[in-house]
Amino acid sequence: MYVGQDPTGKGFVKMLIVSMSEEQVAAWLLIDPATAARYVYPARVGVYKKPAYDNQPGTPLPKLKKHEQSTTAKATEEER
Amino acid sequence: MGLLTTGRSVSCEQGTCAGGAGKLYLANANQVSGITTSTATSSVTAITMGSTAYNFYEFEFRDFSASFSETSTQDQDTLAVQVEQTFTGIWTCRNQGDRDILQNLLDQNCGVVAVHVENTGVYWIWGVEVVGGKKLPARLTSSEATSGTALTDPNQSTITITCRTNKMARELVNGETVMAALI
Repeated sequence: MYVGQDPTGKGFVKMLIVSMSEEQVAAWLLIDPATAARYVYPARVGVYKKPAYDNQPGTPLPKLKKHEQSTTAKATEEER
Repeated sequence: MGLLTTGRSVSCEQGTCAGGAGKLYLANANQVSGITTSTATSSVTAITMGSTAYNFYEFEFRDFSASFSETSTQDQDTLAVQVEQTFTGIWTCRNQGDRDILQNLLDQNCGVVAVHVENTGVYWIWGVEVVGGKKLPARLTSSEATSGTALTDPNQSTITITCRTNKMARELVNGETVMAALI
């Protein structure tokens, strides 16, 4: 939510960024490229891999593959 | 900013003002997305919040108890710059509500973005500067509560909020209108 002077210089605005007109967004990009760019440029889809699982409380952990199980067992033995 | 581009003069109609600070507005720093600065003066013309659900909270203090100080230093040898900003004010009559606010400020890691109003009528925003890719917020650095001893003693909490950064506080243009829309 953007609150303050209209980027186009026409008074005061309080509005959702998605509701901004093209003119307002363009003006905002000129004034404040750092903040505006975060909202204007699209998300870099596909650049980052999706995590294997979301480690949220209550979410069951995925089953370990065989080679992962043996690694875990070895680590446990070493710890002992 | 860097090189000087203007001088300073004092006109006959200006140059007098009142000391002290009035209200303080605080928002959780992780809920403030950014500020828009004027290209001409580096004052702040707009604040962007992460959601419509996020807002600033207004705090009032005992009359003539609040003050803001800002100490800027540049090391003569290393040229390292530091700005330390401090807002201090007094809340009278200790109570559970005040206690909860202070405990919340003590328990959190994200810090706060602060806007305060000085008795000159100027709104200043601080705790919002990004340094090294990270916002350096203000934090509650001290809260000193006392019951007093005699009946005439003050029962109060003295609150100190501090920010250590490398940019001075900026004026919030049309501060009254902006803050009215954000609380």
